[in-house]
Amino acid sequence: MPGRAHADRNEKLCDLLLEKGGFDDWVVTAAFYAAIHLVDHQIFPLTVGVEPIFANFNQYCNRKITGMAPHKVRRHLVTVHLSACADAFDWLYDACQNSRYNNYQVPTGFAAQAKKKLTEIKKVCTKA
Amino acid sequence: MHSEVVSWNLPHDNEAHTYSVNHVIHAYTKGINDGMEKNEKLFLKQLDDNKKTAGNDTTKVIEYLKSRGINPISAHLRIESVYALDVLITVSDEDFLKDSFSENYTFVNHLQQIGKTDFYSITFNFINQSKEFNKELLSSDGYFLSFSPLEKSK
Repeated sequence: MPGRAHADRNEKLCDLLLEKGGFDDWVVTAAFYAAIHLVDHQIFPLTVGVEPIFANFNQYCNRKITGMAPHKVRRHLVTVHLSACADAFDWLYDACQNSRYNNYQVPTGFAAQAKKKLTEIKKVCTKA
Repeated sequence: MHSEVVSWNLPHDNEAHTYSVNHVIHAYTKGINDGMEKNEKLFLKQLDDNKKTAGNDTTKVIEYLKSRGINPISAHLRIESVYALDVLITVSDEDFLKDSFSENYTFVNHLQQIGKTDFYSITFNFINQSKEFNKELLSSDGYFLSFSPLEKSK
């Protein structure tokens, strides 16, 4: 599935769960995974300085061999290439990845905030 | 013109300067052990230095959060490698939910970038600390060191 279509699909799931209620942790997760596909689609293909074009995120990780976990690599790429939505992306990352430390108990307002951050990211990632 | 061949001679009492196989093995083993000990000391010193730097950077983040009206509850350090450290800072549900909270990432991203060297890198993460907060899980994920200034202030 192409990146943008995958992002749209995950966003639809996010909206459905938000409307349905009772699955706030999954709303946050769906929002984050929609955001991942949005930023990947926006950033790639990528040319870094004189380095050749990286067709997609996986190719970037394979060729660059940063030694960092893929999520860290992506956060770095978003900070450098999509700084306008980096804060929203980082928030979503933390909300999604670290909710396990609260036993996936998501306080009221988190799901709506996650959707809000996704909307912020979407505004920056305008590539069709 | 005749020139004399220059060479290096062993001393006349060369027996005293001849080494047996045992001497060579002993010297080799000692060399390895000395080298390992030195490497281990360098490794521990680097780790110690990086922990201190991470402490200073964490203090900067905490002061910054406080200046913006956010009260950090705790901070936890995970040593991913000698050169890469992660810090997870916990705040209240209310603070994490504030619209303006995400602006803190601009500050920490800058701090991460300017502090990065070949021997040190740090990543800051944030999360709300709710009633369900599971410290055991946090510890099992590697965040077993907690930031003492925040522990004392409790």
